[in-house]
Amino acid sequence: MKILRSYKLYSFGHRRIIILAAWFAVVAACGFTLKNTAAFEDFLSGFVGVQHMVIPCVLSIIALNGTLLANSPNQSNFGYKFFRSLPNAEKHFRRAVLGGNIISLLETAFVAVVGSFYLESTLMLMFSVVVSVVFLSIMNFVTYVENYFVKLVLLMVTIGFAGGIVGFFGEQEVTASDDVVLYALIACAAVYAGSLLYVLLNSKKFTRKERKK
Amino acid sequence: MESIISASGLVKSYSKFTLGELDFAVPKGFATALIGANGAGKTTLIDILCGVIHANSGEISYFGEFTDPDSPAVRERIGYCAAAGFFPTNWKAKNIASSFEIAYKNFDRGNFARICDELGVESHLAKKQLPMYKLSDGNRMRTALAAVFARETDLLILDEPGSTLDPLMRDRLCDKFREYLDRGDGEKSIIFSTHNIADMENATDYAVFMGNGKIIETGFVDDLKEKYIIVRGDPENFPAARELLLSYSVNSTTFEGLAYAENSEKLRLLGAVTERPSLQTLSVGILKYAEGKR
Repeated sequence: MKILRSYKLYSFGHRRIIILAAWFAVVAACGFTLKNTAAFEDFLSGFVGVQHMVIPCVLSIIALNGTLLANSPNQSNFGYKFFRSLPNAEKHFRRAVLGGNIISLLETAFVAVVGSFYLESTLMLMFSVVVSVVFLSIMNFVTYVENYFVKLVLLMVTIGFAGGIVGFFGEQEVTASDDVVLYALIACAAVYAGSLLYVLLNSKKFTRKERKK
Repeated sequence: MESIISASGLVKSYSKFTLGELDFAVPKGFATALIGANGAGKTTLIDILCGVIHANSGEISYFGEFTDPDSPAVRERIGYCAAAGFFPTNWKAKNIASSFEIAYKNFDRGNFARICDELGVESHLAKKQLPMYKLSDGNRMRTALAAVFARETDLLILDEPGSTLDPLMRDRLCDKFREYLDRGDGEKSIIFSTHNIADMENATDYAVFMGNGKIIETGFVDDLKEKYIIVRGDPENFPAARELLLSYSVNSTTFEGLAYAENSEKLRLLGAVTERPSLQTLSVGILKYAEGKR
């Protein structure tokens, strides 16, 4: 509850979740309507395509960056003086970053749940989830990169790679053993856990450093 | 004199500007104006006092008991408002109310709605609210002030609260200051920076003059008005009066300057006219004096 309150303090992210849920509901409704028609194949190829990868990724950027920019004097439109002057500002910041991660994971979960309705290939679904989570990990790792341009380039390059890889595999008949899928998931979870620890453990150091500038 | 905030050895260095070393005390129960030219260090000082930035060295004492500007106990008791862009520009009044409710224990939504109404801006109860970026600078400041006044605090620290307000609203702000101090019965204090010295004079009890990162004069306004005088005279008397003037301006028809009140008799003998300064004329004279000494 505290995490969500701190996240709300920074980003007011509930609207984002509502829009995302509504969007997926429309997609789900289209899928159910087209299920036994000739158009379903076309629907599936669109569903598996890049947009499902990009949308949660882009939303993840917004979810986390709204929080992070709020502490940066480089982006004065985000009210950094207000956030820095709050009681327990450092705790709120740390919790809000965690909140941003939770929202982003929820977005990825939306993709997985809706995808599981239609996709016969579990591999494809797992792959989407893995790439989303890896993306989120990179987002966490670049959190404290000071140069906003460098940060943006890193993120956009990642999105490009993610989109390209998913697009490529979407057109191939790819198979993998259960072990490979399992290892991929474990590796992905480990990278993500590391990134989350990194971003949370450094949040206090970051806010202190910003205040000393 | 009991102080609400005191600082010793306060220094903040940037590549092209250094604030300090500052040693000062702000009296409890009064409204204190930070007065200085652009770039004098007023905002930097306010940011340090409110924990937005950290000083390189020095110590600050809050309410006579705390020394950590990041302490939640200190921040709960301070109402702070920055000069421009205090809130994210996409926020509306309802977002401000929600944030204050999350962040502060002493925020009252009812008070916020009432004060917004008093100051003539939309509150969180308005049906269609505009985001900050669509409001004028003055209305943004009014909304921020309403949020600050809606909390139960012991000290207000406001950066240029009057600069974007119209004269009528500045007058109302002075009334709000007085109400706040009266309600505190000597326990509440205000620190604010201002360039609109004439309009804010009614709200100022104590003044801290700053120039080039240093404090150049402090004191109760009434005492300072006893300490200094404004001097006027014909230009032919100026050369003789010059050495008694702290700062001056001279043209073909007259000269005007600031001098210590103890020199008033000598200046009168030189044919000059002396008068008690207003806070505005006093400020101009003192700031010119500081600039001339640089």
